[in-house]
Amino acid sequence: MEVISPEGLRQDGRTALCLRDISCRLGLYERPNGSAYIEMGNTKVLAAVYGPREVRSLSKQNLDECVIQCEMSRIAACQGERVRRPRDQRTRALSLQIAGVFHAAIRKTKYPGSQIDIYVQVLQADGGVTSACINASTLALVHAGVELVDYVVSCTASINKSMPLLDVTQQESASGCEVTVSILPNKGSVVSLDCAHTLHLDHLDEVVDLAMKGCQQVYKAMSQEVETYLQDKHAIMSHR
Amino acid sequence: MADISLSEAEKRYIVDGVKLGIRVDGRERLDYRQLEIETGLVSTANGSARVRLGCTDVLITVKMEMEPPPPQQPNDGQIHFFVNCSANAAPEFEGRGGEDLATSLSAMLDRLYSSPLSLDTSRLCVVPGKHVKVLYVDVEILECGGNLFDTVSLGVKAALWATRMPRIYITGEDGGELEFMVSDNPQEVDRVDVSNAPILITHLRITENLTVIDPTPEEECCGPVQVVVGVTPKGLITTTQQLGAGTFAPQTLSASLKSAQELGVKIHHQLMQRLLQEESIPNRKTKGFL
Repeated sequence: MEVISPEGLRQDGRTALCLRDISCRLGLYERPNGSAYIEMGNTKVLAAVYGPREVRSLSKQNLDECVIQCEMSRIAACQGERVRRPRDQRTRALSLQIAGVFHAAIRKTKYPGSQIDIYVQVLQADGGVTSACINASTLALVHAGVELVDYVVSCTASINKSMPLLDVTQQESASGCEVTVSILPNKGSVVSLDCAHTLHLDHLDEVVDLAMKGCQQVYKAMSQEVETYLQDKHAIMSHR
Repeated sequence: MADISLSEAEKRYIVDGVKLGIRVDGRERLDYRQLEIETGLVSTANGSARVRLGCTDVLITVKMEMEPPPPQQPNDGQIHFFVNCSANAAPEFEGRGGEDLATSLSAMLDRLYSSPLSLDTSRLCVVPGKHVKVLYVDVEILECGGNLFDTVSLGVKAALWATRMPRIYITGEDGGELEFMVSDNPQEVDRVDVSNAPILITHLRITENLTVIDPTPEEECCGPVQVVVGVTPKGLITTTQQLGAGTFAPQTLSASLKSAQELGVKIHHQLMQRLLQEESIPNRKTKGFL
């Protein structure tokens, strides 16, 4: 199966530089301080934020700034094959990565001695899982009212036979590579860069630039949703 | 279950309210909260359902796999339950914190469906002794707002109802091993017969001889003990279990069992009505989490 047909269309009908449809929603649940849900194409992720709250194990407490912890898990039906364990080594590694990303974005000095927990649940995985997790976590943090330096927006890109592709699905990344880039969109700075499978150094710049452009598009969609949410809650003036 | 601490005054408020016949949210003793069910959300699973009961949210997915049967039951398919309490349901479920609750839930579901009358597993057999269908039911607790047993059992029934398994044809034999063909036609599906599938009803004893149905987390803090009853659509009780550090007077217990039976029959009827209604909607778009 070709990734790109001779007409320039991918398996799901998109062009090479087209982002998947993004739908998101803030505030699904009442118990967590913040909750959000995001769908990037067929990748569906739920995120919940508890905090800032008291640190549970005093050994981890830091009196200058807050502690950030993340736990990611997957449901059994998230892929075609049934996933036997919701949390394994891979999800633990991704959890640490996500926590690391938010160390740069959360104003930690505003919450000394406390803990912020981010819990991410992957409901369906079809490429760009880490990106969707980071985006969902940003929205959940925004909903929780945690002070952020900027949104953290993430997107994937790849390259196939010298043709750069934006926002790859599972199938497309399996045959090539998957580069995940997270940025602070207003500052334009890169928070994390991760590459799965092999990518030739000559193509790196091209792919990272494409991913950053994709991030800006994702940021537009996410901030639009946040504005709509705030308008519904009458938190901002609706004539703006 | 939930990490809620109530003061003595709040507990008295709840208990005295129940004695007067009214609960904190205005319900009567035997009223359920608002229930929302949606099936078919997860396209990667054979069947799925999401149930919201008040603040409790669970997602059930059913996946079918073909496996060789255990030697002691060569002609029956199997059903396995796995419960995962995710950390976003309650922060104390982080890491391995939710395992106790998950184990008790999956053990309860196993007992509920252990009777051959609840679910006819002989229909899940493909080739006796060699290949049977195994249904893996995975329960994901997304938000813990009291009364997990009832919500999960309703979800399991809805998910089993919504399960569509592609029909399997035996095409031939190749050196002792049978060859199968899985039908690609979306119309050719096998379904699971849930006409006798039971559900769980929880009675929480708040005070001397008064029990409440569908407790909220605050009520669960006040009540010392609860009894969980599994009821089939015909009003038969398949399983009962008493949970918690407390006691039941025999009269209260038998009254709870009887009212659980009556309620169970009503709820089954309503549930099947709604599920049939949902199925009859043409070109239904799943609302999902949005």
